[in-house]
Amino acid sequence: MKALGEKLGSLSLTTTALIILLLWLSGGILLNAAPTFFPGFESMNRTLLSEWLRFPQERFFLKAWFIGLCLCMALLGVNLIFCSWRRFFNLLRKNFGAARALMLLVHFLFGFVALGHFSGFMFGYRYEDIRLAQGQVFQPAPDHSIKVEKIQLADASRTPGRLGRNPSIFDLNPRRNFAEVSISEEGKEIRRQELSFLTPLRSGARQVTLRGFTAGSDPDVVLAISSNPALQFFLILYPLMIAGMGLHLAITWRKNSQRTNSPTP
Amino acid sequence: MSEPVAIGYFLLFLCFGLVLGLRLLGWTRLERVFTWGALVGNGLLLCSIWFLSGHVPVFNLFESFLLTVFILGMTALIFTDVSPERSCTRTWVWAEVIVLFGVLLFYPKTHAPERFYDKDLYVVLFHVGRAAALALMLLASGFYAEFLRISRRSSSQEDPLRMGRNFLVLGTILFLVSEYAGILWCLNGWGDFWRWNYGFLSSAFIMLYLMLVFHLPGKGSVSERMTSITGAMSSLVFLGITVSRSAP
Repeated sequence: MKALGEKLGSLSLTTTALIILLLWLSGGILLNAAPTFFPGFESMNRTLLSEWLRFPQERFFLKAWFIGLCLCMALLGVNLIFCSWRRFFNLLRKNFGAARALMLLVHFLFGFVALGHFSGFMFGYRYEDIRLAQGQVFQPAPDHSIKVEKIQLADASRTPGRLGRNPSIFDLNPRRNFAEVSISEEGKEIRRQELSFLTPLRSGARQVTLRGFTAGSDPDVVLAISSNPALQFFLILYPLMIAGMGLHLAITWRKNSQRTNSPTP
Repeated sequence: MSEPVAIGYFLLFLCFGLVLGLRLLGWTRLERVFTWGALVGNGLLLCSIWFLSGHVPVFNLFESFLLTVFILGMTALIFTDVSPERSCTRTWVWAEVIVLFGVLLFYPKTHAPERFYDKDLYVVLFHVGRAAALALMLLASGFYAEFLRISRRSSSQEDPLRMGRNFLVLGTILFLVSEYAGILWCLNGWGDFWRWNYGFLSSAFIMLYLMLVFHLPGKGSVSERMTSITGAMSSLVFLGITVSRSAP
């Protein structure tokens, strides 16, 4: 049992898991470039992956690739848990040093950041390309709704090279092209804001993002409506992990390489 | 092509070529003069692009490589010694600068067009962080390459290895800072911090590769050489992916 624990927490397993992950990701990059699988990746972007995995029309091969990616990450996670467990007790018993403790903390934070990332794929909701005209309402969950109060599209006809097509959000001045959107909870308005490119509306874990406009006499807005309960957790832990790495580097800058090459405490 | 900017680029290419040539000849005084001249010229070119375009010069490969070369050159001046030997860390660094300028031969020598989002803090931080991370990883590669050269002669030389590791970790930190800025940018613009596309998958590839370099097992000279080889390659991986993301 102890030998298995040693193997599961070894650096050799870390290296093996990382090499497999790199190969797996390379496979994903190739699949993404293939016209057969590209629509599948686009579909992954449009919805939560917990729902996407249940779509019968999606290709089995792409689903298998995604599940394989998750399994590789799970292997790295098991390795992280066993390695940290062993090192944690070693740290308490002997060799307690700031650099080692800090590196252990960075590893813990990495684990939680990865979990936060994965949670973003699985929990909450996500709707992309929701097209709404002024006054229309979208209900992403039974208890709350999103209403487009006003649309101002001033520059649509001036977008170069896109005559007759929908204007690109990148070419529109956000100060003159925006939508006013409100969020209501159980019929009561809780937030109202002007949305423009790079200025979304946030209310708790919910977010309404302006993705574009459709041109015409009665223009629509294209919205992404999402809720990610793990987002705040992820956004706080990520910079803490970076700060931990920076502090560790500052402490070990002058130490010799034999002692500093190992990332684990 | 903006002509004054293109002329500036070719002059800088020539200047850095001379710097590398003088380094290989061992003419250190002249090398120092040309290095300062090239770096001042590089700084002026970046300032003029900033002035002409109205944005921080990081929005196309031409601009971001000029910034990378500037950061790489300045850090090399501060953190590497002038060695009387022809081959030292600085030799590798100047060779890397020539490679960057060589890549730019295939790209338009002009500034990126003005966009409404190019003054957004997260967008700027993402691009600046990437340029700086690439510069520090290239410096780390210089140290690792130097370690590999001298470790064949003596086993006690570990300063380049330590410096290589330090700058690779610093480059990784800057890369993560730029990724974090990219996450916030993506969140504000697309409503999510991850997209299943080449850009995001290749960024994850870079991060996993860096993790691999830092987690190679073992101790002793073989492990040190493995760390040096994979560490030196990290900048090539980053550079290759950066170039592949920017079609000429």
